[in-house]
Amino acid sequence: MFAYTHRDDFWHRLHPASVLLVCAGLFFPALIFSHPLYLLVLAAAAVAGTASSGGKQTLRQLLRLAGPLVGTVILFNVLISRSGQTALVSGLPFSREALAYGTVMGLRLFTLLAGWAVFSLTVPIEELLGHSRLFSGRAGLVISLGVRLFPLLLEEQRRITEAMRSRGVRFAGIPWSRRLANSLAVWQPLLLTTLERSWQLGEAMLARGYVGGRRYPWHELAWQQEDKLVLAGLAVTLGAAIGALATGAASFTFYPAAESPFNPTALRWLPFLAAGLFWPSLLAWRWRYGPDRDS
Amino acid sequence: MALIEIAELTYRYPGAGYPALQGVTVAVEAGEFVLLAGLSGSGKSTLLRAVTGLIPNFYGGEISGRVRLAGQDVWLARPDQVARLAGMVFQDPESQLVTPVVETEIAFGLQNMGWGREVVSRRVAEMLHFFALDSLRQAPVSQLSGGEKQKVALAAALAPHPSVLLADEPTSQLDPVAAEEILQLFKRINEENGLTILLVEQRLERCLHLADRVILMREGTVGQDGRPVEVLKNIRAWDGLVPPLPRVFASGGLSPLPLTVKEGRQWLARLGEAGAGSGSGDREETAPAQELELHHRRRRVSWFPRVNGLSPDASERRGDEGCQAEVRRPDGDAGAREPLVVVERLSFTYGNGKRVLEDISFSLSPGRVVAVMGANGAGKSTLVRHLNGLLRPTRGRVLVAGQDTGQVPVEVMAEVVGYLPQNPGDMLFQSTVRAEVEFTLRARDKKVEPDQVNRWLELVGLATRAESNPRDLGGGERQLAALAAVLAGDPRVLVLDEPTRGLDYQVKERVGNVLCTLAGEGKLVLLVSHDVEFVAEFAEAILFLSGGRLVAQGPKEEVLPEFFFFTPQVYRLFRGFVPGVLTVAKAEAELRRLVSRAAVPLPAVLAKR
Repeated sequence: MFAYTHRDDFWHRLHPASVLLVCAGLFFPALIFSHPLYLLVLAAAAVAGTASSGGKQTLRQLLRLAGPLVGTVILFNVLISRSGQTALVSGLPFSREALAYGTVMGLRLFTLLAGWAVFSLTVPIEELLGHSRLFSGRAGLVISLGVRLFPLLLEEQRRITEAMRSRGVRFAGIPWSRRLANSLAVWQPLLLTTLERSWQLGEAMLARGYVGGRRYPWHELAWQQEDKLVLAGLAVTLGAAIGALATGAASFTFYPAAESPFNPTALRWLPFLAAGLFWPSLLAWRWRYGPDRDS
Repeated sequence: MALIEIAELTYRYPGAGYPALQGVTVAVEAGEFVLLAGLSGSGKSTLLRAVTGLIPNFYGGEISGRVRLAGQDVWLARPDQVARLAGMVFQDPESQLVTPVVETEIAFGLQNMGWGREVVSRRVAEMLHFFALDSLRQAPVSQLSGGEKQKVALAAALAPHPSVLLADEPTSQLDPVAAEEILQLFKRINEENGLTILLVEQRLERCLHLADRVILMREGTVGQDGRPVEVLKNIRAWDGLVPPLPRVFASGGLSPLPLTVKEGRQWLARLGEAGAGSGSGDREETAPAQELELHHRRRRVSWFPRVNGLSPDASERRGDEGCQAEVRRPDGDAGAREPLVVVERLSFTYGNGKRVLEDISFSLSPGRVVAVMGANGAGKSTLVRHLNGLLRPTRGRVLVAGQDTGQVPVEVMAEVVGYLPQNPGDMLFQSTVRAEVEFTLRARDKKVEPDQVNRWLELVGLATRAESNPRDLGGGERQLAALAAVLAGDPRVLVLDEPTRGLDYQVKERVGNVLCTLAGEGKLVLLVSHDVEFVAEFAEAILFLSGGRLVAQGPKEEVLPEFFFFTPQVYRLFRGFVPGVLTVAKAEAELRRLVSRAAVPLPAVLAKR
């Protein structure tokens, strides 16, 4: 899941730095902006990026992973926040403002996850790190292995859970205390197996002469025509983001009473931001389905 | 000066109570192809790691003696200096690949050694071409087959142009065809490039004939060392290690023992000619002098020790035809029984659109051992994971004991189906083997009865290791501990995914006898295996998959003869001479019959060779 896979497509033609910037264009606004519609656009652009770089399957995986997390964030906020003024359901202490704020937080989380998915699917991270003096040594390799460990851990976890279920261990329909104990039955072998794997991997690396010094990249990372187009789109994104921040358009007040998200003044930067954010995905679709591809 | 010089090497792993290597002295000349053989835990892999300096530099522990590689003391050399001299291929293709893409994987070692871009590019290109991996240059390693992964690992090990190639059971997880391809590559590299090779293997039938020299390890020491034919002469020293082919001829008292099927068939041809020339037809009697000699040889040599906990002679009960002959169906005619597993028009497609199974139908009765065979990626594991509901059919249905596995939760199916995954480590986490067995009972809210726990432990031969940590056990015993944990649920169907991976002949025999005993108790044992020798020896029926389709099914006597490569060594030996020889015991009996029919004295037959 979300492991780098080389494909002959638009995203993989891009210089890794371009992809890094595209992802940064999703990441930082998602962290800074609080206006629901701005975050909605960011999340939609992230979906488009995921679909165009990894396909429907990846998008499904992302939704499966992010869905429960986003739902939990929204639910958690509704349940614990008491700052809102407008009752969600009369007679209950839950507010619409808490729901709106929780939704925005969920969109933010989703955008970050999707941005990460795009990045890990399309950037050979050790290649990118190899080109950076700062990360060309041990730190770069540790990051690279860490990134690769994530999908491996998910796979291990799936296998161990399957083995435990096959042994009759239940994870649902039982009291919480037993569910917790049974979950430990998965985590213990997962931890042990991961340690064994790490050991084997370390041994294999040492056997192949790894000593932790600087490793020189052997691929020349070339800038393509496509990079220029993407960077042009990024310039538009950057301009719109700075404009929205400077004018306060991307900010939003939730408590004690949420303002209307449809304030025209606040939305004037949104079309530019959307255009810049969707631009790489549109280019990717054109690259795949456009007339140049057919010829 | 020898390329590898090992002198008085003694090594003890950190915290171990006894040394893994003891006073080992070996010298390997440049260009030799050396096979390191021995039972599990005899010190083969430890010796290999000592040659690369991984022992003691990575593992720690106490070490004495000396290991020199091309005149360099490997313990004092830097890892990149050693890697220039020695390439290493490990057992598990998954755990030795460091980078996500084929070409970067091959470049990894070269980059560590500080080679420039031009050299790295050239060598990567050369390796990709030699190993026919050009089309996979940019492929993610996670999507390669087992054989392809091992080829990538081999290419990566050879890219720095080392003087010696070290390989630790590189074919243990591959199907016969892929394994043969990898071993032939080793031989080709040895012959065409003069590269020194140190190969550790458990399945000697695959590689004994390829080696110039065999070093037989025994309890951390060098037991035997010499040319394969010479080492085989002292066959009694090989307890539990002799591959089927020489074992058969050893039982017939013939010498020198053949190493290849081709040599064995030449023997048979001469014996056949001698028998035909006698005009004796089917006569049973032999000349008195020869009879005496044969009587001496007919004593069945047991190459494997008795299995603890099994009924006294489980291995003998197996009979000449495998375990079905005498053990199965103790309570009557199984043919009249209802099938326990029914698979109807099963098709399965993964979420990414990859179709793995296509229109598969079969039914299986209890009280038998059935093997699922096929090449890597044929869909074997996917098929058996439908039996307990881990996967749900895209089309068709799977019924086990009358329950539709697509409709019943896995945890409920666990009452009927026990599933042992490929990696037993996936399910072992308790501090003792006994606790593992008890955990299965507690997970099902069953009462833990010590007698019952002891019974399962005795059945798998781990009664004496009940208080050991399962992760401290060797590969074979770990497999048996996991098996005991599964058996504790008392399932009617037992599904095992590659249960003999990486096991030596002795432990395989032990596992096989346990499976036969279980089948004898009326359980249906379904095992996924690449190990043709094991399947021929212990299975009764075979389901053979190719490209997700069931291309052959039936008794092993009908299915295996249909294949050319997926056949045991003894079958290939007797093909055209005696039909249907699939087990070592049957082969031994047939060979003795041929020897007894030879009219001329045996020495005359042998002299023709």
